[in-house]
Amino acid sequence: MRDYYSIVSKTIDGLSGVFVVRLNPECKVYKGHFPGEPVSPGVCNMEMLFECAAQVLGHPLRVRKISRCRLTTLITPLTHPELELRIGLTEKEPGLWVLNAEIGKGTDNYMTLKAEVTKDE
Amino acid sequence: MPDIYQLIPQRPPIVMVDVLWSANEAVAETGLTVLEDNIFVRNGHLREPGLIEHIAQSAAAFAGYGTFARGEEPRLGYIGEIKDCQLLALPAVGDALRTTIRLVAEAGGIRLISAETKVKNEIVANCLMKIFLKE
Repeated sequence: MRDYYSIVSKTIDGLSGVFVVRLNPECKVYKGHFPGEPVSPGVCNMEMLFECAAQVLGHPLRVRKISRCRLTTLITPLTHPELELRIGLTEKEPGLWVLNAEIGKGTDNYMTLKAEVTKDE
Repeated sequence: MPDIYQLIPQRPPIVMVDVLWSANEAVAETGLTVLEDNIFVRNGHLREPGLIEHIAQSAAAFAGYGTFARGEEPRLGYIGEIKDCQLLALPAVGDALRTTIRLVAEAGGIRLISAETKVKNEIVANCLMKIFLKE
């Protein structure tokens, strides 16, 4: 789903990054999620975080574990067309990073994620 | 068992469960065969968000089994929380996923489930998931 979102701007500083993204209401995923009632799938928003985290790390990621992910606000491309993705990576041991990430806008927070990732082969 | 579209509200291209094998009050078993055109397949493998969506929709099919038995339409559901989710392997195109969903707790429109997904008897993913059902 290359057309789920587009990156409006990004700031990467070491192992941290902030990405402003725009959701595409025309993405085909909304035909099925749900018919006549577009809701951005939580897992697609999670995938945006993983892809932006991969940009911060500079390498494709393999997600090994999701310690916790909370989705507190229903996101749709109509009610939340623009989102801020905040990414923080910490190397826990050689080759394994803890990813702390969130999706929000301004002072609002819609989703938080804590995961463990490695580089994908 | 009823057709999967009678049990879940999702429709193509984001249908990530294709069969409900069994269900009772407490536990359900579902399946998914990974096809090349699955929107979460990259380079021949089902990626992490696809595995998680498969678990979420397996839980939806489980909840849908109850609503179907009462003659009702499947309710829209949203993932509220995922915890302790291990993603041990990424299934390949052609693999058949088999998932066991257990109802841990239910209150109002919230269902807490535990899930374990296997491919050829090897565990590929497990997690706890909280799902909000729309009224």
